[in-house]
Amino acid sequence: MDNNKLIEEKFVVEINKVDLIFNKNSKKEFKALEKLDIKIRNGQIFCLLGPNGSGKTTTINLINGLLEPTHGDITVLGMKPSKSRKTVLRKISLVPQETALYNDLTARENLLFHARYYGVNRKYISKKVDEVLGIVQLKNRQNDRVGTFSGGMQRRLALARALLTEPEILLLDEPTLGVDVQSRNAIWEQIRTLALEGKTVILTTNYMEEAEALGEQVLIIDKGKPVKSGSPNELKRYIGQKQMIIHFTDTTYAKQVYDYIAKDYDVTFKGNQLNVNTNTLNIQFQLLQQLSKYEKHMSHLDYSEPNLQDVFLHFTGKELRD
Amino acid sequence: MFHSILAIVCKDLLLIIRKPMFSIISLLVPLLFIIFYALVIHTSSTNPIVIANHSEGPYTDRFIDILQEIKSVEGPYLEIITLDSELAFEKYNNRQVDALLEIPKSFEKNLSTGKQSALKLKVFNINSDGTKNYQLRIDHALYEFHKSLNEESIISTNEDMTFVQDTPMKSYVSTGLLIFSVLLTSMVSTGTLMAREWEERTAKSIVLTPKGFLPLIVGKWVTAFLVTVVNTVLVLPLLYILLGYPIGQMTTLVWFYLLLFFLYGSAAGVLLGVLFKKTLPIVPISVVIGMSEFLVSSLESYIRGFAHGGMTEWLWRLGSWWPSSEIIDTIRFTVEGFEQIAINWGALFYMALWVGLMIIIALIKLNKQLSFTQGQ
Ligand SMILES: Nc1ncnc2c1ncn2[C@@H]1O[C@H](COP(=O)(O)OP(=O)(O)OP(=O)(O)O)[C@@H](O)[C@H]1O
Ligand SMILES: [Mg+2]
Repeated sequence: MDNNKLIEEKFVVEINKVDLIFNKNSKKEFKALEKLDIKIRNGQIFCLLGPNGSGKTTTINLINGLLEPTHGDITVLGMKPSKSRKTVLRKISLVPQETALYNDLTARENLLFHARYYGVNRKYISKKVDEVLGIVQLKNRQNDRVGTFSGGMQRRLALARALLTEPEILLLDEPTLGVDVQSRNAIWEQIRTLALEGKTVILTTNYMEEAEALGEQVLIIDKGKPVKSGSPNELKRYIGQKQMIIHFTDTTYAKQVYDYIAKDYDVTFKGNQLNVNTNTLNIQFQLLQQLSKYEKHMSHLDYSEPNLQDVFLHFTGKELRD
Repeated sequence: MFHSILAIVCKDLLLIIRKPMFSIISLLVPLLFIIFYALVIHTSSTNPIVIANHSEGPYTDRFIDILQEIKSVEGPYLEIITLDSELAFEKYNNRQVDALLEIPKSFEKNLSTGKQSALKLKVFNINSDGTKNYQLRIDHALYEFHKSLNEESIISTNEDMTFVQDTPMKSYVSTGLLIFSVLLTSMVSTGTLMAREWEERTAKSIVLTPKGFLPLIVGKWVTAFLVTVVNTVLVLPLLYILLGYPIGQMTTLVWFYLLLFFLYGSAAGVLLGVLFKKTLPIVPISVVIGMSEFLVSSLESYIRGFAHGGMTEWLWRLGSWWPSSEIIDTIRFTVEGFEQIAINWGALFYMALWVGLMIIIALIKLNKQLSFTQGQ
């Protein structure tokens, strides 16, 4: 109990001012990560959001000890992963971006192989395999070759493999890459359940919906540099930009109103509609009162909330995905 | 560790059974090669010889002229490297040529007085093909010489063979073919088993277990070993039927030498796997390496017979330095039952060193490759 508390107060993963440089001191030198700072609490779903090539997999490889930071330091459960590799690897499981399954083995054979190689107690292997197949709902396909599985099923099987060894920390590198909406929802549900059971989940994604749906803590990275971190709500609040969208019956009225309010509000004019940034309820009331005389020329009102896409755009000046 | 190795072996055997293409290739290539080799008979050309000449005079000169003149459509029968007695013995003793003909001091005097004279032919009779060639060619020279003298058998030859008995050519080649088969199978199976883990991008999930990659590689070696044993068991009867290979005479020592070649091939296979990370190029490259071993090191003691000048000599020099050449000869002596050279410690040590070096390089390469991100 005390032990748990200790871990809870400390961070399970701490990355301090880490730089990672590939092929250092050669012509091909490439800075993949720069001044990366990450602190992850026990039981949290931490989400690394960034476009292709931003350094997500590189960060995952730092945590599992495949890479060592060029500068700065990293601890996982209080240990350096590259030094105490075996101990760290006993506590974490990775679902790699490329799933790493044998296409010519069946789902069950894949899991059996992994459990045996890992050294799961032989008495429990079969039971454990049944259990994880149940979790990811692949029991009825367990004797089919993985090569015949859809992308979503393969990702679920890879998740099952990671669960075989009862990890404390789950590293999921793009767990829903190339998966259809239904499979995606199923995977999200499984990830939430795992987090509820107390596992720390670290996942990378370049889908902002995923970060919004799962991430308790989100770090946006771009070109290896951390851009901004916080909960999805904090991030959105940070850039504010709740917008009221006023639709007019005619462009001329929209233009008239634009000229009337432009000096007092942050407003953009788009055809017969005006987008006004209105972050507080107060501003919204005030604006509506001012516009009461135009009421009969207004067709309807919309509100829009910012999403992480906007956050990304705001901080980097470019879209998250092309 | 043991369970991890077992897991790899079981998984890989299952995959081999489901996707047997590479194992079939690594069996078919040596089988076809052996069959073709048994069918296609080689031709021999000019044979180098050194002459230790102690005699002087017109008879001697005429005899040497004849030795130089006799030829077939393919070229001269003999290439005389030297006539100097000291140099001749030096070259023969250093095994730079396989045959030495000694003309005694009394040769000229005996002939001019019509007396009998005897030549001495020393042959390093590593295979029956070479021995036969020298004997027949010298006989032919003597026949021509007698004809020109209008005499009959005034000169005889005393033969001095290094080994009690020749190695039959078929059996000589068979040892090379056997080594070729062991090397090729171990290279292809270890190489493709390794490369598959990259090709299917499965290496990462194995490396990221607390067991690391050591059971992975040991497991691959065990699987490749089983495949090689199966292949060898299929190849041996073929060698026996087609080329009369004395499989009954394969002692424990011979099997130990074959094990060395398996280790050599599988270390090379690991290197190929790490280097290419793709299964496809591994097969042709292994065939090239296996063929070179067969042609250069397994035939080294055969090439020596005509390796004087040009590409052949260059190739032979390479072969004579290559660690496996002498071991292959040792295997031949053993299966032929030549006791005098049953264990050649020097060669064994050299070969073991070479195999150990290959394994160490392979492990270093692998460690580097596996402890580094795969850029995905
Ligand atoms: N071993 C390596 N050597 C050199 N550069 C590398 C290596 N691994 C990754 N990189 C580079 O580092 C950058 C970050 O790569 P990384 O794989 O971490 O990106 P990512 O965010 O996971 O992208 P993706 O969404 O495509 O998976 C890329 O520009 C990549 O080319
Ligand atoms: Mg990635």
